[in-house]
Amino acid sequence: MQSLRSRLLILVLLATLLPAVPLSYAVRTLLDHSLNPATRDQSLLGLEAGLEESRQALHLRKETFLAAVSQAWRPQMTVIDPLVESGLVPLDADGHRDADAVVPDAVRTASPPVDGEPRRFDDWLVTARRAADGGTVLFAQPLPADMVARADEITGAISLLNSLRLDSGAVRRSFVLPFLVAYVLTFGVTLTIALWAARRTARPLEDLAAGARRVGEGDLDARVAAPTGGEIGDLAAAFNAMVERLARQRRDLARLEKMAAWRNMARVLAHEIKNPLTPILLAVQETRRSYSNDDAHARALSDCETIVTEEVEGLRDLVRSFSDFARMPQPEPADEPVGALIEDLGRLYGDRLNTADVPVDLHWIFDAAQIRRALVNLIDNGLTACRRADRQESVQLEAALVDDALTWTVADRGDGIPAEHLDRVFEPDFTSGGGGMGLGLPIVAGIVEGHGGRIDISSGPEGTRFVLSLPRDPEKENLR
Amino acid sequence: MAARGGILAILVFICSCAAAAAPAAEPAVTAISPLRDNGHLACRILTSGLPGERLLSSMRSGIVSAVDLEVDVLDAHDRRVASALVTFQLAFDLWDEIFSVRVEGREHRLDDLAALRAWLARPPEIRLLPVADLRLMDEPLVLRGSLTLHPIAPRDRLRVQDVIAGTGAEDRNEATVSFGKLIRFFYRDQDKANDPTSAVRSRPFAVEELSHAVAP
Repeated sequence: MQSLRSRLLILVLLATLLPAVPLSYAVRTLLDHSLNPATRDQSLLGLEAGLEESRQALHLRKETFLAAVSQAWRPQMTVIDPLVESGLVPLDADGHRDADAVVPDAVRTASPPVDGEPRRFDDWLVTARRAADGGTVLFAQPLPADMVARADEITGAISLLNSLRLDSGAVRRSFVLPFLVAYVLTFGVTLTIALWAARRTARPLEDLAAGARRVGEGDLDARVAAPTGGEIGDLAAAFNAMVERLARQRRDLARLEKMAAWRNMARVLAHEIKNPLTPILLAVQETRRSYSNDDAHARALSDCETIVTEEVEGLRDLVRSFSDFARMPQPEPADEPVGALIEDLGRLYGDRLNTADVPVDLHWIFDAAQIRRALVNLIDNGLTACRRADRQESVQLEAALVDDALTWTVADRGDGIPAEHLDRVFEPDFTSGGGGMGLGLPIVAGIVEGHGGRIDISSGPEGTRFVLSLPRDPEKENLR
Repeated sequence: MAARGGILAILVFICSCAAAAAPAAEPAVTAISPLRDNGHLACRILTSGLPGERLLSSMRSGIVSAVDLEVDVLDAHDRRVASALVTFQLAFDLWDEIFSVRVEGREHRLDDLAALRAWLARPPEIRLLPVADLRLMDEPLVLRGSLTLHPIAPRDRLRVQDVIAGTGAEDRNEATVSFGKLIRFFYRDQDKANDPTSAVRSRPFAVEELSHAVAP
């Protein structure tokens, strides 16, 4: 059963993992296409062309700037020239001096090569000239804002595209890792749910397998805790019902075997005891008759004859009980009036039997003689129990229709039957010590079973109550 | 005589080939020397191989690269007393076609690669801390300088981050913003892992000798 759990787990994990393979491939392909678009090279080519144009424009601008500087430059200029502010000569876009220009610090502190090519500082063109006093005069001219902006856009785009290309591995990883983290988290949650589901599914089956093993080893007390609802719940309930039936059948079989053994023994005993009784009785009577004198010896013989006769009659009663038990005939059910049987028993027991009225037309299918014998046995036992408890001899007899069965209820006010003996009262070898051979209740059980019926017994300090339930169709019940 | 000349020519050829085949030296910090500068402990760092192929390739692609120079002042037990970090942002102006180095807000524009190499081989002195703060230290000190290269400067990385997982777009919902944060986190985390680092230590020196220290 462990393998079932493992298989369930593997199935769930495969169902989780397998889609990840094509999905990962698709994600990677999409990511590669996103990071390396087919149009990137064309874009770069276009940007390079734009950049080249910007370079040429800047070159022209530098030439114009140098021309303007040549116009503005005077070899006798010094850094203290009134026209030179702090060694800086700002020019406007047209190449004229612009005394009001706001020059950034980066330009003021720039150090381009003296008499060299102009350089770009903070979007200004700057060049240096050696002044007459040995100092350096800077000439600066702002670049047109749109020109700078266009160049910045082009170089920024080239820079970004190249950054993405150069760092594509890191970018790819930075995309993949979050997905991986999310996937691992999802996988962990799925694994937990799968473990829980596998255990939840497999546990009832494991319990069923364990129960089946116990039943196979003969333990019919094995039961399975059935989960509520679902197919597995139904299966567990069916298993429990099956085991319950098996246990009942085993109990019935054991009792029937025991009864059969007892009946066989009772038949043998009855036969062996019954045969010598008549010769014994005749021999004693003959001995008494053959001695005609009327003396003490004759009186002694007469007493002996009385004792032997009484004992032989007792043995005959015993033999009769054995015979009745051993030769339990098959019932011959017929449509019988229930009230008539109650009246008959009322006449037999008089005030000791309390009966309840039943409808006059209540008829039922049963063997009246056998049921009468069963009821007599129960009433006799009840009266004996009342005597044993020193209570008034009184037994209650009722008949009623309950759930499509005729129930006979016999209740006494005796001292009750201990709870631990209730399971054994219908066994032939059990006796409560109230006299008799203990065959009365087994005979009752045999009669009721012969009718396909059932006996329920309840007992306490206030008395014992037997309920015999007889189905309407005994033959059909016996077949079941 | 002719044979000797032939052998010599072959040897020269082999040496030339070997030199050509040898991998370019990785950028490294080669020496660090303490010195005193207006009452401060300072240092001069010498490097070699900068900017190196990777940085140069990035720069020529219009990407801003960066070089981190970190200097630690260590005591005799290698415990850090002070430290300083200077970052040089190296760029090649695609428009103006000149190199530039920006350090501590000041930009140096350099006409060609040779000028850039010369500048990087002998970068400006780095100020560490006032000498007065070290007066109580009677143990010799050591400077440890380390060099970290960023083919893509952190500033440009931020730009890339913003492009691939920015939070500015109004049409992004909370889920994509959260995912974008994760992407930025992992992208940032890979920054250090990719960049090589080299380090060098100075000779032990006492605070007293700093007044006589001169740059190498």
